[in-house]
Amino acid sequence: MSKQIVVTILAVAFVCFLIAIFTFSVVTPPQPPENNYGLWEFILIDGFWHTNWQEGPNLYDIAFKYHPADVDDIKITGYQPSEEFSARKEVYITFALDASPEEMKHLAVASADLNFNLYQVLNKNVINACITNVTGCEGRPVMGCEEGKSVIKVLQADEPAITITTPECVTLQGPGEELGKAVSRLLYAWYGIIE
Amino acid sequence: MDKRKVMGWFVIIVMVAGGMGVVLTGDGSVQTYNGYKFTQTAQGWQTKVNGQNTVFNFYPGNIAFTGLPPEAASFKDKKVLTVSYNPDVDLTPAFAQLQYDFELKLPDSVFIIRAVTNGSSLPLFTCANATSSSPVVVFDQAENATSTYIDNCLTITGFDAYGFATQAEALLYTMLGVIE
Repeated sequence: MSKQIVVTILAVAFVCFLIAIFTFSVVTPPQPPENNYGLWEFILIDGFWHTNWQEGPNLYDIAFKYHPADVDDIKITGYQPSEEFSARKEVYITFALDASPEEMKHLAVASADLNFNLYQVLNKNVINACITNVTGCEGRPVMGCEEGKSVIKVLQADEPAITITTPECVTLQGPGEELGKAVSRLLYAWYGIIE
Repeated sequence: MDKRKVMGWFVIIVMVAGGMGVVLTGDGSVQTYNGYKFTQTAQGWQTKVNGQNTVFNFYPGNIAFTGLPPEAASFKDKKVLTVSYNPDVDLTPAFAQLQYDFELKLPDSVFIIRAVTNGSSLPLFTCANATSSSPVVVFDQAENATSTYIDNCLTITGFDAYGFATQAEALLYTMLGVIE
């Protein structure tokens, strides 16, 4: 084989190689970031971590504000939620309406996040309540932890934490945006994604 | 227990439940805020405003105290409102969605001008264009969720789509007269 033919073959091979790389990079769309947690597959879309969760025949696409690896160090202390807590159709989300405007934003976001998951996925009716009777609590039940009711207390506090005060009362707390981490951590526990 | 006692308890239970503004139905809980009946749905909280069924992400009682400036209430009477946003940040899709929400959820009698603060995808409007008859709402991204009113212009910022939406939706509720 002459030297010219070898050079030609190599040149053609090189051009084909470049075309293949170019075609692959153009045709293959950029994939959303993936970051699995155990056997659970998570995809980041528009700032939210999505995963599929199945219960019976229903498959849900659930979006979380935080990836499980970002919240699995948040401890859940206290009791195990009672069977009654899980069995009741109504869940009361109660928080302090006299919090500062800045705190209220985080409380409202936490409440909405819980509301979506409790209703759409866990099939619960959410009732917005108040911890104490202050302005704005007209038309809302006022309650802390009450026997015979399933209550989630949402608080702004210094440390991010989840406490189950009684088997029927869950307290979620955290400073500022950290409260959202406590919400994600609780939901991951309920979905069985974090043990 | 005789019939009168049963009726008595029934009346008491209805009055207590009604007083709390809470009714439970098969479709989700129902709560009343400022005379508006809100039903929990898969999409959010649904109510009828101006004869139209409208769904919101947040229950109004949960965002009524998020610090919207009192001057925002003056937007309720305006016939023209410009909703503009920064198109160059991560929250741009959320801004665009809320801009659409303002157009969709406010009554037809309010003319919404859809705009951006820079670029060329939509007309350019900033606080500099705000007038008393045609105020401007600007959505932007920042470290904190804030809302500031200066000279007929309300600037709402947020750290993420959800945090930002608390105030944007509080403004919608205010303009619709749900939050007073």
